[in-house]
Amino acid sequence: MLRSNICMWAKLGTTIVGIAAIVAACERPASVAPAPELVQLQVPANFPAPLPQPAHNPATAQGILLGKKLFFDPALSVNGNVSCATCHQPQKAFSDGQALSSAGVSGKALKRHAPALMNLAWMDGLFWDGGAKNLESLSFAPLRHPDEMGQDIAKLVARLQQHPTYPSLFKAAFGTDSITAAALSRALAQYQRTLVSASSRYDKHIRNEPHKTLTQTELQGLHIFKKNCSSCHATDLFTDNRYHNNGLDNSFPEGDEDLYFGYGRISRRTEDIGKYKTPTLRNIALTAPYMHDGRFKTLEEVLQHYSSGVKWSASLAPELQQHAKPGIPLTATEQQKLIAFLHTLTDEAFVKTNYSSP
Amino acid sequence: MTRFYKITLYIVAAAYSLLLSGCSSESDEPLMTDVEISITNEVNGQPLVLLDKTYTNPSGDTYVVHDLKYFMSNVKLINSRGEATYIEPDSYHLIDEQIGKRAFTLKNVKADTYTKLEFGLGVDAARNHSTDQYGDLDPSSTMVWDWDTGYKFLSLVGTYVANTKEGGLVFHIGGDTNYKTITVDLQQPLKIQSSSGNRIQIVTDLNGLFLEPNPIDFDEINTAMTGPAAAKIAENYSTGFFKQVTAN
Repeated sequence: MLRSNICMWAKLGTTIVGIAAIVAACERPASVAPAPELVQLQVPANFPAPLPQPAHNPATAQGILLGKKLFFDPALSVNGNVSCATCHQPQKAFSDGQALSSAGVSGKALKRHAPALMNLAWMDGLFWDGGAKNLESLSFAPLRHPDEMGQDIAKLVARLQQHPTYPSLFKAAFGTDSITAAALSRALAQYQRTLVSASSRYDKHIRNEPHKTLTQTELQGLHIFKKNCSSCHATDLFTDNRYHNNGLDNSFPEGDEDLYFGYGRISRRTEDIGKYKTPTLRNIALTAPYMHDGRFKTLEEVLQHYSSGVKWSASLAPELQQHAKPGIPLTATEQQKLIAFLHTLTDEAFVKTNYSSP
Repeated sequence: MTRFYKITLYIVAAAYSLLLSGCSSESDEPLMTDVEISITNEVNGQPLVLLDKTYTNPSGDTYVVHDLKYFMSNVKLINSRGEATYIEPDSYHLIDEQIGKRAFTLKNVKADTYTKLEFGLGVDAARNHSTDQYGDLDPSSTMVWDWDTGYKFLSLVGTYVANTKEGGLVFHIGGDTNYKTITVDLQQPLKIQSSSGNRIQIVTDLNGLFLEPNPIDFDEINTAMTGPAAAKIAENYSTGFFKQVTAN
């Protein structure tokens, strides 16, 4: 009995040792490069949960560092003059101050306004029309567009492969110095997810942090905002990440690859024609001009639009049809208070932290 | 003590023998081999020639092809008992007439008698929603949409002359609903008996894109991406594009 027990244990032991031996023998030799250090996204207390991070691109210290270097490097463009930061300038909360930029390699004006970049880890559907499904896929658009960075992606990858430092930075981030388009875009995505803006005066107020009270006018502005604007500029992200027609136009011409259909060209539904993504209002004082085509130069112009300039069309947001005429009636005083509140969303720390290139 | 020694010896010997056999194929294991898949894109029985030949579609419109590319993915071999006993892992192949890439190799196919080939035309939803991919899905190709994330499943670009119109022919077919799983019978079974010379030869007919069940008249449809026109061509490629599949 004892003997058979021992035999059973011995067989089990043999099996375990055998399996371990097979596993050990079949595994590739361990890489000598140190593993990249995983970085956890810090979620501000007043923010909703971020989107699940893509399992195939976990953020690492090395990946973020590489992404930052790439973001600020004009060598990514075909003529070596245009970086991501050309149109997404940190001091303007990663916007460019232009309605329709002509800073790209061709010098031709773009057809949409460069969006400000922040809190992207919470945003699905990127671009004004939501056409880019995720950050990992997004970067190829500006890199390749003839009026933006104008690159042939394969040539860009080959150029980076010949660079004195990039191969080792890719190796540190992704375990191999053989650069791929996918790794390039993943690094840029990792860096962009670190652009979290949550340290404005409003944030300190809402989180009850000491010595950071809002003025009476700003608080009144916040009240007006909650009542009139927060259904679309929702949560402390100040966007619902959805698509609405806010009455800028009442005709949406065909042609130009259906560009003027807005979200309708992505969803391919008639009822979405003329809708655009709700932009965040964070750092809004730094990101003029406004709207998907940058048509309004100031916040005053924006509020005048909502107050008295909204044009009716079939897809106009129901939220803008709650009164006798389309729009949100606001008195001049209410508009001033609202603008005072919007200035409390400016995050100086965000701008300063990200100001300089690596 | 003696017993312990014996057991230890037994363990070491067994582990050693397992170690030796664990990673390499032994003679008593089934034969595993490569199967080469090669494709000939044809129009009306003649191999496709880019730029220099004018073809006539089933509606009687003429056209010239500048480029043809498409993805074949999730390739499976189905044996005579109807079982998909070979499923290619990470299976995405770009067929590209412009650079003459018309073949790929299935690795580690078990010896068996295979009677059907199954594959998808396009890129499945699992990979179609993010373009940061490797291999044939590398986004540096022209088969990627940047403005509306996803892959073109089939790209046929050229020029046409129809009854009332002429101009550029641009069929960029994509969108999840246009990913089609296609199963074709091998004209004679692929019997894998040795480790070389196992091939499957696929012949397509470009005019099959324009015939059934949806005849395509270039007067009406000469560009398509994801809308109703694309859906029509996708239905056609699920039935009438892959004409003949033979094995040897």
